Amino acid sequence: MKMGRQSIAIAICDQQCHSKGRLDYRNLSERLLKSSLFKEVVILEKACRDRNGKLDGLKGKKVLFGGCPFLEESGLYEKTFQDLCLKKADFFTVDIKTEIFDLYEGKENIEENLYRKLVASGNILARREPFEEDIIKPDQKALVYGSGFSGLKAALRLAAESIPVDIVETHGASLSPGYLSMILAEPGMITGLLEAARKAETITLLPQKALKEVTPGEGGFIFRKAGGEKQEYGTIIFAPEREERPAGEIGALNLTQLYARIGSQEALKTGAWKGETVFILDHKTETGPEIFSDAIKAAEYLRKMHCAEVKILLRNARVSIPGLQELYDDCRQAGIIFIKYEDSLYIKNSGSGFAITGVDLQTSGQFIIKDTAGLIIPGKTILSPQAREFARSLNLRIYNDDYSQSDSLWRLPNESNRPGIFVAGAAKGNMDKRAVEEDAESLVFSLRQRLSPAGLRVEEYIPQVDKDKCALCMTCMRVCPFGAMVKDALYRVAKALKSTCRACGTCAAECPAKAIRIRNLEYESLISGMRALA
Amino acid sequence: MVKSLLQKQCLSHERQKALESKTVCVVGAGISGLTVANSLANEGIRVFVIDKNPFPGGRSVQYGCKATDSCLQCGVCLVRDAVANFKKSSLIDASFSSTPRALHRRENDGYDIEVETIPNPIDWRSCTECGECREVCPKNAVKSIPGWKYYISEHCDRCGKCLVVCPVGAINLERKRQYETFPALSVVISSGFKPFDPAVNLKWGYGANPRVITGSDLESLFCREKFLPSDPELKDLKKIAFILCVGSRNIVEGERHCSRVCCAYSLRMANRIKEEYPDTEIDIYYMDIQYFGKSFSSFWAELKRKINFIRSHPISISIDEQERPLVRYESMSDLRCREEAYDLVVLANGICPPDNGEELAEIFGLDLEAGGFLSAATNAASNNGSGRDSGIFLTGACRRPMGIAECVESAYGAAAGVLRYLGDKV
Ligand SMILES: Cc1cc2nc3c(=O)[nH]c(=O)nc-3n(C[C@H](O)[C@H](O)[C@H](O)COP(=O)(O)OP(=O)(O)OC[C@H]3O[C@@H](n4cnc5c(N)ncnc54)[C@H](O)[C@@H]3O)c2cc1C
Ligand code: SF4
Ligand code: SF4
Ligand code: SF4
Ligand code: SF4
Ligand code: SF4
Repeated sequence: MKMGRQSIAIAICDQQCHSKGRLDYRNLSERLLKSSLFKEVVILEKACRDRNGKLDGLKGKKVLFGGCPFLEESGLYEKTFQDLCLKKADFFTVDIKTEIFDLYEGKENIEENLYRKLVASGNILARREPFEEDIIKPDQKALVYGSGFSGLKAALRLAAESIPVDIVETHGASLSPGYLSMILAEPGMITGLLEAARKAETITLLPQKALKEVTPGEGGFIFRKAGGEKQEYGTIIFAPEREERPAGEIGALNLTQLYARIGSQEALKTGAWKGETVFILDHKTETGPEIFSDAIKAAEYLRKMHCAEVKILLRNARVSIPGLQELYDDCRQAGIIFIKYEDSLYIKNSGSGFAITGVDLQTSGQFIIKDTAGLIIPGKTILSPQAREFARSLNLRIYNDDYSQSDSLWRLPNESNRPGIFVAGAAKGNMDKRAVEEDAESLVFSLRQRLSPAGLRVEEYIPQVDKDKCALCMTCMRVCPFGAMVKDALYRVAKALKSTCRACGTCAAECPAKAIRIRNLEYESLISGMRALA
Repeated sequence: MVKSLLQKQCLSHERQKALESKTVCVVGAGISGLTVANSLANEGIRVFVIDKNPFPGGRSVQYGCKATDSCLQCGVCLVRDAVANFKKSSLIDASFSSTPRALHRRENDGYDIEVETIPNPIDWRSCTECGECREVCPKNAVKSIPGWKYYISEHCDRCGKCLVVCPVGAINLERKRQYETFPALSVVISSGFKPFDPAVNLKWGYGANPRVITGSDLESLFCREKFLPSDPELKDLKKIAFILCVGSRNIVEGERHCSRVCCAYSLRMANRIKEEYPDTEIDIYYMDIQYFGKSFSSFWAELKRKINFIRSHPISISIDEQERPLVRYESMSDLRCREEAYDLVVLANGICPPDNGEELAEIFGLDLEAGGFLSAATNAASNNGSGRDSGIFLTGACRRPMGIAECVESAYGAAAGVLRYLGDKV
């Protein structure tokens, strides 16, 4: 059975449920609708008494009811269903008092949480049923989302495996710092790749908005093109570039803006760059080695090309990329001043420039930098709203800090929470050029392992839930990174969906009742070694 | 026509058969080598693994889990799993205690690899892991690796006690050097790295003072689920120092590069020790802390509360009256030299290029990078090794410093390269 988005109705009782007044239902339904996870959301207030009006409009539609369990017990729903000639199977219960309220308190992703809960409870089907491994059709076209360095590399690599590829072009509107630093380092490199992609017979470049609405397919992903015709893809590679947030200080530039200025040489010569330039790293967030590398490359460029005096304020030199220690040493020798500061900095914009005060770690003395015209603070990198939207439409999970893989060790380097969708490049974590190249290689293998039935012998590791111990707290469902744990309502026990479970072991380790076993491994041994079962 | 191997479903039966008769040789059975071997075997390809150790798993199988109440993503369990899978696979054969000596190109296709073996007294194929030999050995020479069988180390004095007890007759103390030649269509080099040995520089006092150990030593304690040396002579270890960047980021005393893993393992181990023994006092001497993992910021912030971070690279380690190591360092706050005595000092030794790099480079026609790591610049077609033309691939820490998770990723890349190479052949 396939199903698109479904209508849900949430029945709220105003008597037993004490949440009234604290829950803004209209807002809730709006949010649920806006999330585009549901087709229609109807809130039935006072459902236990007032059953006319709205209900009529629902007649003949597939409606799922949610409501508080007290109502269910009082038999009032039964009556409503009879009135509407709905089958019992079409309604489910959400414990308004706890769950919705919790969801609402949780603020962040209430839509998705509710959606997940509904899916997990078996009451509505996920928008797309999970794909079985063997349904992924490698000879079918692949869709690469993102035409940055990693997207292009991935596409070319797949094309080399004679897989036809469509690329959704994403940059243009916003150039990511990684992309720009590569242009700076090797002019023409990206253009070269783009050229290669354009020339390749099996690669097609699509403009950003060319694809519309996803519908579930028979083991593929079906999109509607702008012209209206349908296009089915066997796999999707999610490789969006990351955008940089603004610098966080008024008047300061982030790396992207700096590169843009470097690009249009004029802006540099005139205006700001007469005095010295100061880069501030590790300000508010920790700077990773990739950004560190981008920053010192830019600093070196400014020093050389514009004879600007450059200072870099930082807490830690992140030199763990090959070659970076050398670059760092060279920059220091060439006269870029690195100052390691303690704690935090005080930055003031005095109109004529910035004044920065801080404590120098080397000397423990205070330092003051006055009248700096150019202040550069790299911002955090995030996914663009379009990329987010795309991910959401595919049920692709986005974890902390906007990455498509969580911090735990993934069984395959490029897998995502959804079989058939792979992540590449900066969607996994910030990467330098070398890492992106390697990533494109491992992507091919991730794909292949996923295809080969022998590749993942997950069955052996599917968690088994002890019915007697399970308290149905559904902790496992909450912690499972793949959303594989569901409530088996019939037997009143949690269970893992075979097709979705990747046997990561998280559920077993988190279960408060210690009800979950993976193969013959007990909780203790899980902790000491099986958390990231391979 | 080049047909993609990715399209497994499209493979004709004959091609599949043809593939299965091919053998790929993997040199070095560390995490990278094992990952390549396991994933190729999953594809139905025969793999032959050569390792100079008497056991699989390389360096990292001798490390331990660093999880406290939550996993810290150190990746060590991945190695255990890789060894377990390796043990199970019927398509993988191995020769331990072996090193490649020469490579001959065959006329039609592929290579013959000449391998020198000095077999371990215990034949790993027959050993049933009963452990009898270990019980009787007066020299404590019988060793084992988590998840693997027993082997006899160099401490053995050939008394023959174990010979008698072994129920399956797996032990043969006559070790004869053997030379064998194996055919292979493609070769993957994953010969790993060498941990920096601080004994080369007297200033660390490593080797002279039992209270100065390296990160590698501590890892092997962790491997046995001990978190500190339990030598009674050392007594209570109440004050511990970790010194980072030992042998890295210093061209005079070691390597110029940053080893990439030592910050991560030191911080994780320090965290584990603190968890286990809350009243130990831990100082970490560092130059810069490298960023690792996406949860780095929160992990570090948390750790800074429990552990004292001192920004300085110590000048030397001497001994005080109670024979405790005395760390001499320049204090950043007043630029004076200070001395601090510890019960234990851990030197976070980094990743150095392998000793045998030159030899391997010569045998397999590879290049050495400036730092001494292997590369395949001259005939590189794919970044994971020389790739398409020669069928010789490189992966893992022999290419540059990398951690376990990265090794796995790199190994998948190499495996993809091998598959493509083989696909072009059949
Ligand atoms: C002290 C220390 C602690 C570390 N802790 C961690 C950690 O907690 N987490 C983490 O992710 N990483 C850690 N690392 C890094 C980790 O050790 C490496 O990433 C990993 O071991 C590299 O695996 P590899 O397979 O490439 O090489 P290795 O593990 O070195 O394996 C190479 C294998 O090749 C064999 N070999 C070499 N030459 C030949 C030859 N000529 N012929 C035959 N066989 C040969 C060797 O015997 C060895 O078995 C640590 C490193 C150090 C030094
Ligand atoms: S976490 Fe444990 S007790 Fe809770 S639902 Fe899951 S299996 Fe049951
Ligand atoms: S070995 Fe490392 S990765 Fe595995 S569970 Fe322990 S801490 Fe986590
Ligand atoms: S006695 Fe024999 S079988 Fe038992 S562990 Fe030793 S070598 Fe293996
Ligand atoms: S021969 Fe003796 S010393 Fe050697 S391993 Fe056997 S029992 Fe130990
Ligand atoms: S990883 Fe940390 S300890 Fe290791 S060399 Fe780099 S900075 Fe030093």
